[in-house]
Amino acid sequence: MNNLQFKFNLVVSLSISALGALITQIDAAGIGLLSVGLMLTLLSLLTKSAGKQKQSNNKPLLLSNTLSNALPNVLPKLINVQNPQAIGQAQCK
Amino acid sequence: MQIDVGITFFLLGAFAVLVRAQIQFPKGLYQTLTLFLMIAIGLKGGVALAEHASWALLAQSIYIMLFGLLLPLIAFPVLFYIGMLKRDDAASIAAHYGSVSVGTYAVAVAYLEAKNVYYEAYIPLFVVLLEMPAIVVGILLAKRSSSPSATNTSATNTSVAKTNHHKLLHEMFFNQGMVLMVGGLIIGYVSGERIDKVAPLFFDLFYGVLALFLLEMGMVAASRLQDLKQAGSFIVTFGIAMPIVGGILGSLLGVAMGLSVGGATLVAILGASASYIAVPAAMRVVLPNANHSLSITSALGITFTFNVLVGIPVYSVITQWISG
Repeated sequence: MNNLQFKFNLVVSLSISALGALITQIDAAGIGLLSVGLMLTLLSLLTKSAGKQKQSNNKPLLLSNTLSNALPNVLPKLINVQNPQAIGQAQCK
Repeated sequence: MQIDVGITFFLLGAFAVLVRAQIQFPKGLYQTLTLFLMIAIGLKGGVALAEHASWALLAQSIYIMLFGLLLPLIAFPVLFYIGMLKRDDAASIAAHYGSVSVGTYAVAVAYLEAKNVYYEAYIPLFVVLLEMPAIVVGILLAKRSSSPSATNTSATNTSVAKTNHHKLLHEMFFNQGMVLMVGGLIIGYVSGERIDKVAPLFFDLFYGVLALFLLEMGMVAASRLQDLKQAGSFIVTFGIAMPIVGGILGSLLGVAMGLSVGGATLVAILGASASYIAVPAAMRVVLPNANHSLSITSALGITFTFNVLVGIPVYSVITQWISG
C-alpha cells in the first residue's frame, strides 16, 4: 500500500465514521456505519504498520550498510565476481 | 433494534461456512433462485407500469440511464489513479459498480415493505434500465485500453473482434437478467388481472425464495473472505465507500425526480449496488485479461454484504433526511 492509498483509506474511513456518527444522532442504523468506519480506520493503520515492518525487515544489515557508506568504491568491486582482479586492487588499497 | 428475517438467513449462511458445516445446496439452486427473483421483480414492475405509465416516467428513465453512465466514471479514476490497478481491472470493476444487483434490490424491497414504507411500484423498470449503461462505459474504457497496434489487425483478428462484438452485444441485450426482467415487465404489463394465476408462485412465495437466496449468498460471501486478504485494504475501502457515494447520489436523484421517500431509497440502493450477474458475463467478453475474481470479490464479497447488513437502513435514513 503506497502513501496515496493510505491517505485515501484513512480519509474515507474517517469520513464514513463521521457520517455514521451523524446518522446515529437520527437513527440506530448509523451504529453499523460507525462501526464499519472505525474498523476500516483500524485496518488502514494496521496495514500501514505491517507494511513498514516488512520494509524494515528487508533493509540491509547495519554492518554492511556502514561498510558500503565507508568504502563506496571498494565494496562494489569486491562483490563483483566477474572482475576478480578488483579484489587484489581493493586489498592493496 | 429488530433484524430483518432475510438478513438472519444471510448471517446463517455466512455462519455455516465459517464453522465449516457441510451444507450443500443443489448446484443449480442459486441460478434458479436468481431467475425466480428476476421474473418476480419484472412481473411486479410490469403490473405497476400498466397503472402508472406516463410521460414523466420517460423523463425519469432518461435521468436513471444518465446516472448509470455517471457511476462508473466516478469509480474508474479512483481505481486507476489511487488504487493503481491495471486499466483493464479498473474498467471492469467500474462497470460492475455502474450496474445494479437484483439481489440487493429484492432485499431493499423486503425492508421497505416490512417497515410499511410506500414506494413507486414501477421502480423495476429502473433496475432494467440501469443494467446497460455501465456495460457501454465498460466498452468505452476497454477501447481506450487497447493498444494502437491492436487496431491494425489482420483479417483473422478483425473476424475475432467482430465475433467479440457480437458476443458483447448479445451479452448486453440478451443476458438472462435483461431477458427475464424485460420479459416479466411486458408480461406483467399486458396480463392485467390474468396475472393472478401466477401470483401465488411469484408474489406469495417471494419472501421465502428471497430468504433461501440470502442463505446461499451468505455462504458465497463468507467463502470469499479469504480473497479479501489478496485484494488488499484499498479494495475493501473502495467496496464500502463507492456504494455510499452511489447511495447518496441516488437519494439526491430520487428526491429531485419527485419520487416518494421509499422510491428515492430504492434509487439510492440501485446506485449503491454492484452487479455480480450481468456485468461479469459482459466483462469477460470485453476485457478477457482483467482480473474478474477481483471484481466479484469487491461486488459480492464486500459491497453486497455491506449493503445488506448496513447500507439499506442507512440509505433509507439519508433519503428521509434529504427529502426533509
